[in-house]
Amino acid sequence: MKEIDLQISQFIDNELNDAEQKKLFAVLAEDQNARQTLSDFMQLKKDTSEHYKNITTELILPAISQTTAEPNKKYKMMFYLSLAASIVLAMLLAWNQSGKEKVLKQFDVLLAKYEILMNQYSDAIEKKNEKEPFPQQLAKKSILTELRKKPSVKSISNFQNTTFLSRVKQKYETMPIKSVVITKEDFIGGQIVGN
Amino acid sequence: MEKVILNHKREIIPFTELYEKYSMDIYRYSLSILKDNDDAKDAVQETFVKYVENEGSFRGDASQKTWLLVVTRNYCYSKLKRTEKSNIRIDEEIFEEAYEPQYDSEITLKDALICLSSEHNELLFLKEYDGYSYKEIAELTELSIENVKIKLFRARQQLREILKGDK
Repeated sequence: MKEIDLQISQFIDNELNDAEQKKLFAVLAEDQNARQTLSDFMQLKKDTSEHYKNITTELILPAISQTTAEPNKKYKMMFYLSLAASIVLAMLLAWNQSGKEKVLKQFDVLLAKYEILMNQYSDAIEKKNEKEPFPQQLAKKSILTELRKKPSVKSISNFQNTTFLSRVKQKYETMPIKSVVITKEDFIGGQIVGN
Repeated sequence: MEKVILNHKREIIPFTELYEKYSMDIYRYSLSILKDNDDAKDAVQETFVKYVENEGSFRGDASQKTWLLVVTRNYCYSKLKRTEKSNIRIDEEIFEEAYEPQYDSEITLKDALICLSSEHNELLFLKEYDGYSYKEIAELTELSIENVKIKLFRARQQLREILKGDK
């Protein structure tokens, strides 16, 4: 890089002070190459400027609505709205949970009652079963099979209209057989007592 | 309802007025950096959308045009960065075969400017078209004044060599 060329570049950009300009003129007066560089750079400056000025194209105005000017306000409002919505949802969920617990407690009470009844029932069956005639036992055996497949206990109808029906049913289906141990014969005897 | 904005004097002016005043300058400036017509048009759109979106953060001490140029510059260089990343897998041999230069054709100033780097092109634009001083260019481009001085000189030298057929 020639120092004089750099100064010429600065000169055509009008970035040299008076003293620097005087020095440059002194060099230019004696140096043919420097004069050529000055001439080239000045021509380039003119051509480049014209080139940029002549660039033209069709530009489309961007579609900007009035609301886009205040994005922060919009986003803030949306944030507060979503916050309020989440609080309401959380409250609803908490309320729903307490209702569910109440129903489950009622269900547990009913199950306990059922277990007591079944125990009493099985005791009574044991006593009666000794006298049960053989053909009647067979007849009740088929009924028992059906009952075990789909237990229809009266207490479950209390929950027919609740939203937790499916859960109750699922819990209920497993409970009687596991918690109350009754043999086939016992149950047949119970039916006779019921009749 | 027409969009209105504040100018650097905090006066309310219609958006279309601002757009008509500066859109072509923004396009030319974008073209000097991106060297692609469609990309430069996209840059104009993006710049004005960003300008309107961030109108609140516009500082009154800078001129509106300078602010627009800064937004344009940021967009253009991030665009260039993305393009460079996406082109990184192009095989150099294939590239050379496909774009073999035509030596017998005369090189115009437009061709020569395309051969310059985006930075050199940008500096020439700011100096020759907008007439900014070294100090103003340094502020806009975040370069030192010394750097602007040397880079502008190199850009001119390179341009001269290309046009003379030395490069």
